[in-house]
Amino acid sequence: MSSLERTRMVVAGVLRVSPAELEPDSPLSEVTTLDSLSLAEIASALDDTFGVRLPSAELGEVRSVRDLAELVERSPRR
Amino acid sequence: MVAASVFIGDRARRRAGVQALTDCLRMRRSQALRTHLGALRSEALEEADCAYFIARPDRLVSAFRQATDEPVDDGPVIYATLHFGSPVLAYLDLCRRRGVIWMIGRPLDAANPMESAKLDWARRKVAWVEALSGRAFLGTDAAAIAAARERLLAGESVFTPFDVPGDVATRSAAVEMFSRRVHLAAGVEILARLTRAPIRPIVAISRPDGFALLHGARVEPAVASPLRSTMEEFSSIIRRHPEEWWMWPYLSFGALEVPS
Repeated sequence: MSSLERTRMVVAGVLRVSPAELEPDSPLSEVTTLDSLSLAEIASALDDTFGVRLPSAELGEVRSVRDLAELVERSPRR
Repeated sequence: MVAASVFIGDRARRRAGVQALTDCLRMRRSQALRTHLGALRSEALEEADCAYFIARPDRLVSAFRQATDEPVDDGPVIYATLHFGSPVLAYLDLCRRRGVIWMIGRPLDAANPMESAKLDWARRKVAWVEALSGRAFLGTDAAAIAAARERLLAGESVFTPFDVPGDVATRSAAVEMFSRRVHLAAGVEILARLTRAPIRPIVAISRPDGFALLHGARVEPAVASPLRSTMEEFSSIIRRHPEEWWMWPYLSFGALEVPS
């Protein structure tokens, strides 16, 4: 499974939506309502899955699953 | 004087505060009225204290009393506080004791519902606190909460209000307080679970001989309900000092019940 697919699975789990609803390039906010805690929860789940530490400064810029997958790729490993 | 004029002039608030006190603490009406006035005084006193220390910063350090049972914390901690006593001074005292602590607070932007004169004063107060603590407040939006998580994972601590009614938060949870079911913002609990950082309930009260920190036992994130355990710790503090909790007059417990 590609890291994009794994990211999609993880994000879908956190947001409690079907992975099929998460198009890689669609804004996450179009799929479901995101609140102020959602991003931290996504970051935490991705950290645990990939063994990385997503930097919060860049997290604020992500809009889609693809953005998140790319951020995982360039994040420091723990 | 401010407290007395609000006590006399704001009947709706007085009614709500007295009702909450009689329902929750089984106070007689006369006692509830005195406690309500005390809560108004507590809130006004914090503003007065801050105004005083803004004008006389040299007096601030000597105003903090040496706590006899100072909380011993190492590593990252989520300091949860109440709208009680002197929350701003509790924060500054903790910064003095522990170094870097990040405040999570609602931004004073155009979306803030505060009336303009109050907002102007609040901005001045926040600028003062940020200058003293050496840290800009983290906000409450997604980026700010992600930043708070990152700071906790890096071993630093945060400070945030706990008694935020569930109806002003996007996520809330029901907890029992004084045998009543209330909804509170769930952010503190979620942040604790995400970072495995303990929650330390903490408040400061102003006394003629200085400010004193009061704290509850640390709540570990692995307990069944960190929110409930933290509320229990705070309930104990509130029972001992009901006249310091500003939320009596502002919140009826009915109003805390929000649709899920």
